[in-house]
Amino acid sequence: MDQKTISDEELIALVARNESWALAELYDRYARLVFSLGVRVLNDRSGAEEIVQEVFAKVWLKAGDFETTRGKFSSWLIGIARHQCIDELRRRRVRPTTDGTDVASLRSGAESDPVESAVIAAEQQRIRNALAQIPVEQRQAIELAFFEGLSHQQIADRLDAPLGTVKTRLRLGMQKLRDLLKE
Amino acid sequence: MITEDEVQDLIPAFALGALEPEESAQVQAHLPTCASCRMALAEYQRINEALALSPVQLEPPGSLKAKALKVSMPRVAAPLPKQAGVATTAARSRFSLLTASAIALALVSLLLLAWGFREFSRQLAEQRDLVAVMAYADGPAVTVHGNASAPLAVGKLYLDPDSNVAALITVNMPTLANGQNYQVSLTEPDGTPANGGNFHVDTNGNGWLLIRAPKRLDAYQSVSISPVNENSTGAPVGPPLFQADLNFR
Repeated sequence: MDQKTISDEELIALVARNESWALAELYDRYARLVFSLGVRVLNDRSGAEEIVQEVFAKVWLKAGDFETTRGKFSSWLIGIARHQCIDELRRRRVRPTTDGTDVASLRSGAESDPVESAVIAAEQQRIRNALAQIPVEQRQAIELAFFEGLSHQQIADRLDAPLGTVKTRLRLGMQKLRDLLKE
Repeated sequence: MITEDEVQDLIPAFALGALEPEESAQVQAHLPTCASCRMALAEYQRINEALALSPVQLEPPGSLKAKALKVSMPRVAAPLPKQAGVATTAARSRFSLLTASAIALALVSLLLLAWGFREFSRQLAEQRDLVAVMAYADGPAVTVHGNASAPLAVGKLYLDPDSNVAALITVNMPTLANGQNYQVSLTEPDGTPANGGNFHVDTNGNGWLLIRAPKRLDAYQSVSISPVNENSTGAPVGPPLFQADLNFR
C-alpha cells in the first residue's frame, strides 16, 4: 500500500486503531502547517514546537472522535491547532506582532525551502492574493479574530473602534474572502 | 427569537469564533433547523483553512518529529502474559470410536489453527510496536557485544528513558537447544533484578524482543542477556552472553 495515496480520512481511521505509522504520515503532511501557525500566533519557535507536540498528542488521543460526516480531517486538525495556539496565547497574555516584523526575521530561508510543494505554494499564493484584495481594516479584524481568538468586542477595544464598525468590517471582509476564494 | 437573516449575518463571525457567548449559542441552536445556514457555515469554515495556510510556512526542526510522535509509542505496565497451552479435547459420543476420533482430530486442528492465527496476529502487533519504538525512542541507542562465549554476537537496544519499553535486535547469537531461550535481565543500582522478557533466535542467530520492564528504564543501571530454560523455573543454563551499562545520566 502506497502511503502517499492514502487519504487523510483513511489515515485518521487507522490512527484510531493505534496504527502509529499513520500518525507519522499525518505528521509529515501537516506538521509544517501547525508549526507555522504556532509561530505566527505566538511569535515564538519553541512555543510553536510545544504546540506541534500537543496537537499531535490530541490527534492520537482523540482520533476516535473524528467523523467524516462532519467535515475534512484538515478542518478538524486546523481547529485543534488554532484552539491550542489561542489557549496558549491567552495563557501567556503575550501581544503578538500584527505588522509582520518579528515573523519576517524568521522568514529567511523559509520561502526558498525546497521541500514546500508546488501545490501548497500555489494555494498559499491564492490566499495571500485574496487577503491583499480586501481593505486593510477588514483584514485586520479577521486576523485578530482568527490568530488571536478575539471577539467582536475585544477587537473593538483593541482597535479603539465602535463595536458596530468592527462587526461590519469582519462580516464584509469574510464575505469578500469567500467570494474571492470561490473563484 | 433570532431570524434566519440575522443568523446569516452572524455566520461569518461565528465561523471565526468571534461572537459573544450569547450570540454564539443562538446561532448554534438555529443551525440544526436550517440547511442553508449550515451550508453557509461550511463555506465560511473553508476560509479558516485558507487563513491557517496564510502565514509564512516554516519547517519545524527535524528532532521535533520523534517528540511529537512519542505519544504513539507503546506503553505497557507489565510483561505480556505467557501464552496459554493448547487445550485438547476428547468427546464421548454415541458414534463409533472412529467417528469420535475424527471429530476430536478436527477439533484439535481447528484449535491449533485459531491459536496459530492468534499467535501470528500477536507477533505482527509486537513487530509493529518494535518498529515504532526503534523509530521514535528518544534516548541513546546502546550497542552490546557478546563476550567470549559469543564473540560474534551483537545487540542493539533502542531506549526511551521515560518509558518502560525498549526494542532489542540481536544478530549472530548462538542457537540454543530445544526448551531454551534467551532472557533479558535489567538490574537496578542496588542489584535488584527484573525480567525484561524472553526471546528465541532463528537458525541464523538473529532475534528481537520488545522489552517491557516493570519500571521506567532509567530506574535500571545495566542489562544482560542469558540463555535460560523455557519451563516455569526459567533457570539459567549458562552465563550471560551480553552485559552492558545503561548510562542515562
